[in-house]
Formats: sequence, structure tokens, C-alpha cells
Amino acid sequence: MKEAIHELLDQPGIWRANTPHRGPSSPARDHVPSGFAALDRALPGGGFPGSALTEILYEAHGVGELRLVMPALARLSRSGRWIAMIAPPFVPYAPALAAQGIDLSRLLVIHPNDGPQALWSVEQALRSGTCAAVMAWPSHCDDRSLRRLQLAAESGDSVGMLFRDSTAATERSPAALRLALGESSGQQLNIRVLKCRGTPPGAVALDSWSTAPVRPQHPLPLEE
Amino acid sequence: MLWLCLHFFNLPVECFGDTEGETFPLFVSQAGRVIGGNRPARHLGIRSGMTPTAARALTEDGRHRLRDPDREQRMLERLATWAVQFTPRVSIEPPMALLLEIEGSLRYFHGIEPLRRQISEGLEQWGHRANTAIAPTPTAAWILARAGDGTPVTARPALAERLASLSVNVLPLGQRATDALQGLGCETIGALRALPDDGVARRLGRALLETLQRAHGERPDPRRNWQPPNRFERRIDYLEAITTVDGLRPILRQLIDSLCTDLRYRDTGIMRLRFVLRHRERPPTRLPLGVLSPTRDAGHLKWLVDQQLDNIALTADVTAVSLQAGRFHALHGTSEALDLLDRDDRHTTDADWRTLIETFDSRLGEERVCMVKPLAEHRPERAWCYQRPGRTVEPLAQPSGTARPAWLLEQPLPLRSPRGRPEHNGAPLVLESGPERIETGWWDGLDITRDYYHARTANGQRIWIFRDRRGQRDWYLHGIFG
Repeated sequence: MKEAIHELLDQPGIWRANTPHRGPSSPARDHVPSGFAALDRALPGGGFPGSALTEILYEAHGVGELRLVMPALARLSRSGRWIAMIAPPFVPYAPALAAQGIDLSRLLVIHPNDGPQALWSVEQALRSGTCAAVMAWPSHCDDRSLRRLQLAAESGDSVGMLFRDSTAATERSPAALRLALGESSGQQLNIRVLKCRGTPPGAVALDSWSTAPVRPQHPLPLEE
Repeated sequence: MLWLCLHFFNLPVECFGDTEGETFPLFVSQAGRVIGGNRPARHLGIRSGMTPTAARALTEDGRHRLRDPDREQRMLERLATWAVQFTPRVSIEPPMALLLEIEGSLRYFHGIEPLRRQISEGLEQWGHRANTAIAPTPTAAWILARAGDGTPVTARPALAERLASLSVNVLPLGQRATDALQGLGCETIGALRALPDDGVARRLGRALLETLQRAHGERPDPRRNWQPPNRFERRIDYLEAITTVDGLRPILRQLIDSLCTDLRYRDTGIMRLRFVLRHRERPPTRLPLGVLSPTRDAGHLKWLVDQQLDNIALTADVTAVSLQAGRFHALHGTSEALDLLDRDDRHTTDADWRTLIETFDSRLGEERVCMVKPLAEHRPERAWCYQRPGRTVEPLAQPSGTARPAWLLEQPLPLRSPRGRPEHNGAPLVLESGPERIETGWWDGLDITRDYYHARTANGQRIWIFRDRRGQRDWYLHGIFG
């Protein structure tokens, strides 16, 4: 006969730190494969957590924060639901996004006026139930608003991806997954897993990290 | 041709709103005589011809209105707009009747009686009462309806006989003609028709003779088809200016209700509407509102308005509010149809998605809600555009060439390049691939000649830069690979 504590622990709502969940309480469809085998292996469930917030912290635009999520987004954009991009820092360049497999007729781009409107927009999109993923670049996000967004992602069954400055790494966050991008050197992107439900923090290095087509490592001579 | 006349004998009362279902008695008077009342008033014994004083003695809390021909005309126009669903040939016969040419519609509605039933069910729903009559000429239909004779006359030979037995009082007679007819001892239309035409014209007026001739089909009786106005506009003025957003809210909601009532009469929906808030000595404020598929769902529109009101501050007092709506659209019945179908994920998602876009539109403004679309163009800054959500984005054949960055800068950003070597934030850039020469656009004067490179900054950013091959051969940052 099972002990009460085991029955309790079998409740799907309970997760235990340090115990990677792969049981029926977190079936594979609750996670979105990142498309990077090394990262998927490091994350419980094999990818970005569904119905939850993922924070991606980075120092400067262009270190690989978008390419990290592109394969997952490309897959989600073909799932019948929508992808929302909220307060992107630059123009989402249609030819490049299409080339990376994003179905642009499923991509919504929102330019809010200010920080509060951006947070409002993220919450609406997450909660609506119609967005498979919501990517957002909020200028400011405190613990309380993160909590709201986390709840919205849960109720709307949406993957929330917040792109934030790496200084946020020291702040508390209710996000299910927090990744900090280190420097990408040549063929490798270093990722620190700051927080992940069901697994201890760690680090991953993604290989074959470069813009296609692959280029020589030495500087090109300038044509004069 | 076959004409159906709807005679709204109680229109002077009905034009004051949906009064039949109300609990308060309401009666209308003209020239010191009651001319009609709603159902509670009739129950109390208020009858046409009473003096208003006598009527008021029967009801303490009853409402008394003076006849308002403008209101009646507007109501008649609304009814005409509604009636267009039965036939495109609807004409207004002031002050209280509509004429519908129904011959062409009979097959569609499976005959006279089903059509009549449908019309009367519709009228009942709107709280209107009408006598209907059917005859081969519009004037005859009108006369029969005024007489309350609803048995259809479908053949012209039967027409004269049916009209002959009607009292002359159903004809539009002036006092002079009434007196003259009494003097002649002429009580029915049949007796009137037996008189010589020129005698009738001389004694009773040419207009009456012509009416009789039209009714009998002896004179052409052309009618102008009613054209429903293709826009809606309603304005409310206030003596006391409105100073708060919360004061504004009930007014906008009320206007939405009247718009949606109008849309139901028209059996259409709307996609765009606009509130105009007028101020003293200041230009008006406009609040546009849009939805992605035609609607007449007042609740949904009110919700969108609330979203917008939550987000504005009144910069000046409001003295008048109007609601304008153009372009009416047929309702495809999508939302209703979807509820009946199995609630397939994809479908519900589409409906929810529309709601999400509309929410964003009303709160942020439409220009902030978009999709991106690639364009077949070699100049990078022109190889894309924004478009409104709701349309499919056709994928383009991928242009050959090297990878493009996921982020594009709105404007290329000049880079410092001491000794011709490009720098970013004071550190030299490492060029990883390139050049890709883009040289195009000579035909519209916006030509470019650039060499593009993939580059890496000192802190690991991957960026897209170019060197302008003209002028100072300057370097620019144009994209970020993300």
C-alpha cells in the first residue's frame, strides 16, 4: 500500500526540484523541442516549457538570442496557433524570418507605446489561448508583473519568451526556465541554465553555432 | 406586377420606440385630439378622438406626446431599410405606409402567404403593427390596406369590384371633397367611379380622380425604389459638458446600441466605426474602432470601446458625441455557424485570434498591430513591409545570396571607420563573410551600390554591415542577426 506522502507526490501539480520530470505528469507535448539536441538533453521534458515563461538573458542584441528560439518558433508557427512578437527592438526582417521557416501569416508584431502597454500586450497575448508563443522585449519587468505573465502563460497554454538584459539575472523570477547567454565564440554558444523546474542549474554549450554559410575564422581581407 | 402595402396605422405611437412591450401607458395627440396609444394605454380605455385631458384622467403616470412627423418619417425609412430584404423594390408612401413590389420575390418565399407570414413575424419582433393588403397596382394596395382589407387581389379584372365596395373615406380626401361627396350622396368608391370623370375632377379635384385612375390601373403609377442610406450617423448634444471618461462611457454605449439596432434592421454588419467627440473651441477628438469581420454584436463593440476608454484622457470637455459608421457588410454568420459546428481547435483559435487583434487595435491603435511580409526586391530596406493582420502572407521564393539578419535597423547606422576599418562601439569589427554586392534600383532614383558583410563585434554580436561604394565609401550597420 502506498504511503500518503507518495500519493501526495503523485499529484500532477507538484514538482520536485532535482528530479527531472519525464513521467506522465509532464508529457512531451508540454514542452517544445528547441531544435538543439544538446539543449533539449539538458532541459527536463526535452525543450522549452509549454504554458510557462522562459527568460532569455543576454548582454547585447545579436549574440544568438533569436537563433536560439527560431527552430522552436518555426515549428510552433506551423502548429495552427499564432506567434506574437511584442515590442521588438528592431524591425523583424521578413525575408530572414521566412528563410528560417517561420510562417509569416502566423506572426503578429505589436509595437506598444510604452512599458506598461507592452506588459499589458504580453499578458493579453499569453492569456488569449490563441498564441502558441509570445516573444517579448519588455523594457521593465518586476517580480509582480512576471508573476502575472507566468499565470497568463499557464491559462493561455502559451510559451512566453521574455528577452531581457543579463543584469536581470540577479533578480528573483517566477519563470519556469531562465537561460543566460554567454559569449558565442566561433562555433559555440555558451548557455547557463540559471533556473529550470525539475533540474538543477547548469550550463550547456551549443556547437555548430554560426551563420550559414560557414565562414573562415580569420578576418577577411578588405578589398580596396 | 403585384404590390404589397404595409399600413402602419399606429406609427405616430410606435415612432417613440418599442412601446408595445412597455408597461407605462403612452398616448399621442394632434390638434387637441388623441390619435393613438400603446397597449397599456388602450387597456385603460384611451381611444382616438378623445381630448388629451380626458385621456390623462384615465392614467396618472401615463406619458403624453405630441405627434412628431419627423420621427415618423425616420421610422418609416428604417422600416423601408428593413423591408429591402423581401424585395429590392420598396417605396415609401408617406405618412404611414410602405409599398413592396413582391411579384419577383414570390418564388423565393414560396408564395404570398409564407411571405406575408415572414413579414408579419418580423414586424412583431420590432413591435410594429400594420395592415397588409395585396393588389396589382400600388395605389389599390394602399387603399385596401387603409381599409383594413387583407384578402389579396391578384388579378386586375377583380380589382374594380373589390374597390367598389369600399367606403370613400379610405381615400385621401380634403374637407372640401368630403363635403362635396356628402352632398352627392356618394358613399362607396363604386358610386364614385360611376360619376363622369370630368365631373369628378371639377367637383372633387383632379388629384382624387388621378388617384382613382391609378388604383384601377388606368394611369401609370411609377414608384421610386427606396435606397437605404449607406452610412449611419447619430449625434447626441449636451447642455452640460462631459468632463470625465466615465461620464462618456454610457453615451458611447447608448450610441452603439442604436447602431446595432439599425444594423439589425438592415440585416448587415459593420467593420469600422468612429466616435467624434466635440469640444468648445477646439477641434474634435476622433475615436476610431475596427473589427476584423463584420459584426453587430453590441456587447463586443462596447467591450472594445471600454478598452479604448481605459486608455485615453479627456483633454477637453465634451459637448457633443456622434457615432459615424460607413460601409455595411453582409454577415457571413461565421460566429454563429462556428458555435453549431464541433468546436474544432483551429476554428475557435481563429475567432479568438480576431478578438485578440481587435483588443490590441482598440487599445494601442491599428497602426501598432501588424504583420510583416517579404517583398520581391533586392534593396534590403525595401524587401519587406508591414501589413494589417488578417491576410495570408504569401511566402516568396527565397532570393539567392547569403543569409539575411532577423533584425533590420529602420535606418542604416553610420559606423566609424578609422583607416577604412569599420568599428563598433570603439572596437574593430571582424568580418566573417562577404562581400555580397547589392547594386540596384537605378530605375526609381533610389539606387544603391553596397557591399554587405557579416561581421562580429568584440562582445560576440553578429551583425550585418555594408560599405557604400559611392561617395566617402562609408560603413553602415544595417542589421543584427540575433
